[in-house]
Amino acid sequence: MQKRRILVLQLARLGDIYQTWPVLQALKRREPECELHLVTRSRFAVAAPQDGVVDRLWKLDTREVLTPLVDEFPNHDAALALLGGVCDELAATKFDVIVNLSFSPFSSYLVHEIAGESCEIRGYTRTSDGFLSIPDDGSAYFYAQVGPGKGNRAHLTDLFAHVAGVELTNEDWPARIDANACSGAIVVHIGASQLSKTLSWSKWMQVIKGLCREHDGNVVVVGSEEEAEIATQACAISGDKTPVNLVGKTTLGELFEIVRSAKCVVGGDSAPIQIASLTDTPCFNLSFSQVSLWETGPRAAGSRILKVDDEDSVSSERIVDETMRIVRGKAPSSNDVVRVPGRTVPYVETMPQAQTFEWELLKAIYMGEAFPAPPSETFILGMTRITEVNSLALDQLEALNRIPNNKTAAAILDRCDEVMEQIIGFVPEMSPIVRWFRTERLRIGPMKVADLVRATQAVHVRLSEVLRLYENPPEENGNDDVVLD
Amino acid sequence: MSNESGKRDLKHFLGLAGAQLDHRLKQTEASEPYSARINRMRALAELIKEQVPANAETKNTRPPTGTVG
Repeated sequence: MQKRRILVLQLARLGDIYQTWPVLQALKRREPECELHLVTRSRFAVAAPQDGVVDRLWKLDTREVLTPLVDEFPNHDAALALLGGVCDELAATKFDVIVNLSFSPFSSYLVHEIAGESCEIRGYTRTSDGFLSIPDDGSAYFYAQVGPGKGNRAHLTDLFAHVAGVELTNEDWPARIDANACSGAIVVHIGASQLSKTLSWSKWMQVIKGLCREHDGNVVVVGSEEEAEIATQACAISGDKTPVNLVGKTTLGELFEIVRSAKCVVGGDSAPIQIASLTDTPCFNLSFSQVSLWETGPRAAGSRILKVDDEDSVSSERIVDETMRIVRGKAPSSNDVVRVPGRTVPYVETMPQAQTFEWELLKAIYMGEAFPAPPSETFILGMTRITEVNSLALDQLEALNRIPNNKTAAAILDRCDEVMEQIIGFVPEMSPIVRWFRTERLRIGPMKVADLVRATQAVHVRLSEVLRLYENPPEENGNDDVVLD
Repeated sequence: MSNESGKRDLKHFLGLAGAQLDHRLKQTEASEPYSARINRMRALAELIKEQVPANAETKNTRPPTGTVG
């Protein structure tokens, strides 16, 4: 029998590729005989696993595809031909399963293009009429609820696993590098994909100085060539002990070795933090508001995360102190630090972070847990307003049922969406419900208009079931009578 | 050419290419049903938008009446 061919698409950057590694391991563990393919962008392919778990690595050279367009007279046909060539080659491989972990519009079109008729698709794709198609619940959750400022607390790696249909175990987190370079060092990564996701060089300089003073071992600064200039400035420290500046001087393989043998990694949301999750090296992660700590924070046991609004909200002394507490096995200095007990267990917060209610609501909607008690009178009022709008929408759908081209009903229906949007603007705690509802409606595939109206009605009815719970608000312990599938 | 001005030029040319492609897409979509050709054109358009993120697609929902928005 021919081996099953599974293709995983990860077209994001280094950190996302590292967060995909456990999923690749789990897919291979579950199906050792499968032929596992991975697509990354050429620029980030260096972060693909090199340990043989992937049978074939495809490098998508987006720069090459776009080159004919970077001209005063763009040659679209040449660019389309290049893109078509990649699509044809992938399509010819006839994959049995495609797992798209990219969550981008481009990737959805690519999947639609390369998937054969019998191919099982997980992750974003397109329907036959070109609309976004979200075939699995994990991706629907991602579409509706993931991103900074939302209430989600499920980590990206776990969500990737859910989309791929695998359950992660400890053995899926690879740590196969035994070299002992920079043993016992504190590794500092001063860069990030965006400047707003890290500190300024002058603040890093103070942190590095403090760590050199407090730590017995080396303080090693790492980063890419592009970060070499700021690293030189941040490492310009005089004194008995100076940092080891390896910025721009290491390959990714060497970086793995350095992180693997370190005592602790300090940095913002960036690739070395994700590498540390794979090597099980504790981190002190400064999580800026552009990212969600719950989604992209470290996973290694003993790691800690501090939410930072901007660099002025945390002192260099505090960063040094919290890092040394990890190294010395001491408790955090304050209860605003989120702790990471291990790679397969949830984070622990001592002081409730923002959006705890939204997370409780998400668990109720998606994971069958009890619906939380309403947090405020405003929330109940908002739910009442949404109930009214939903009831109005159901009336319009009934009207469309009777007369399919009823333009007035269609126009009112459109306004219902706008009103819901405005209501959640006033009561953001309700947004998980509205986002879930909208995504479920979006998942309705192409069909005859009459069927479409009925399918839309069914989603509105499911919304009314949730809303009804808050007509008679649940007790303090919640209400688990309603479970959504 | 400095790195920064290089990036600006790249965005300028890709923005131009994206606008022209959008125009072609609209013409093609008006004259034929959704096809592999349109899918590839939309894929390319999204790839361009990823490089010029201000225009990236954020919503693509099917209205309950089934009309393409």
